[in-house]
Amino acid sequence: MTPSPSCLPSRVDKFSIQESAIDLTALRREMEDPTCGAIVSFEGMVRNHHEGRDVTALKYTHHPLMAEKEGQRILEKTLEKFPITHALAVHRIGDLEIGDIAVVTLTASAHREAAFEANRYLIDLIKHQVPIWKFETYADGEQEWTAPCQGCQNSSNH
Amino acid sequence: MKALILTGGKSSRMGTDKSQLEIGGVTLLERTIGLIKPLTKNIYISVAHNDAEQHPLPTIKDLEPSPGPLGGLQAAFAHDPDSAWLLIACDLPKLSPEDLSQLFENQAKDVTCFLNPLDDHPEPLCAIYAPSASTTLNKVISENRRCARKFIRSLDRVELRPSEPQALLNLNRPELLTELQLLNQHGSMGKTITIEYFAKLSQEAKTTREELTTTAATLAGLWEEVRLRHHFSLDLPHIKAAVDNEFSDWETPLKNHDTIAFMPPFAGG
Repeated sequence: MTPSPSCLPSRVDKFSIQESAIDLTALRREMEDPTCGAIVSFEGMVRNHHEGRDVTALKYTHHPLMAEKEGQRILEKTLEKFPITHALAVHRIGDLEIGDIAVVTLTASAHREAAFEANRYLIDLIKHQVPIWKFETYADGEQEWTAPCQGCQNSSNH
Repeated sequence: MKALILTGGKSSRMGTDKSQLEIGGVTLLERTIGLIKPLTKNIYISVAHNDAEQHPLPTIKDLEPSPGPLGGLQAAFAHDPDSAWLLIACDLPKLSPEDLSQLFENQAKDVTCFLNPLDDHPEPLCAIYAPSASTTLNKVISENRRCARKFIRSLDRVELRPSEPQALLNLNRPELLTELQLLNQHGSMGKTITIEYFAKLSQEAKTTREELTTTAATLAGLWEEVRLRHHFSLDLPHIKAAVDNEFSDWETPLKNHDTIAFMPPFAGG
């Protein structure tokens, strides 16, 4: 049984970008669907180190006219490719602190396998194909635009 | 003066023998030979030390395996130490007969060369080296310092300006073939383009946005132009380009008043 469209909250089946903190509980509630036996949730957090250096602060920037559009395209591709009922992704931009949630992907399906696989696919594509960049500040005061790690460039396993 | 044409062999980046690529129905090698002929009859092709293939012209073999372009020049001086040598890459499809005559007529010092208008650096692979350059050449090769750009900067130079900004554009990537074919078909046409730079590129260009007039024909040609001008640390395979906010292939032709975005590798998540 699928809930009527009017019951569907706005961010389900959407990729959005926001400056404010991500409220995971609210997003998860939006994903709830009586036909779904599984919701898989991935949270990408701001960590305090990058390639051996201590990170103290971090800023994300994006292409203002392309990032959301590309993210939405990826989300729709995920919905087509896997037998899932819903997907949702939110990426933050602006200044973030260590421990903040930078990105969230949620996938819901009748059985868990599809939700797990689709989630992995979705977050990997978001990392590789959405025009978003990371500017890190390190403990020694240096600042740098971060290149994706070698592993991320070579495969989708990171 | 004698001339040595570098054909580059099987270029790893191009995935093919560049000298046999055609622009306007003529291979790059044929075109290069045609440019040199009015200046000298002594034209040689630089080949590997163990080369056994047929060539349309006499060859000069490298003295050792894979010595790079400077190794080609070293073999040329070994062949005739008393001649000046024009060392020329075969992949300069925008170089004109007038450019080459200018080089020929202004010969002096250790080397006569062009400053590449795109980055103001002396171009080592389209230059006439006097016999006096061979002492430094043998020294740097013996020390295994084989960078041709560094070598030419260590010589006493005559520096010339070529006829147009893209005269020394070299076909070092497959993406540039369309650029060069379009330039050959339609000539150089000026277009006003707005470029947006993101993240690391905006830091290196010291701007997020610039408007410029370019004669480049495609996205690849435009990238090559700004890459050299802003000394970007990233090369084409790492960059994504968009025209009017849509990701686009490097071969996409530029139109007047396009807005182009150049984006470094994404790092979300």
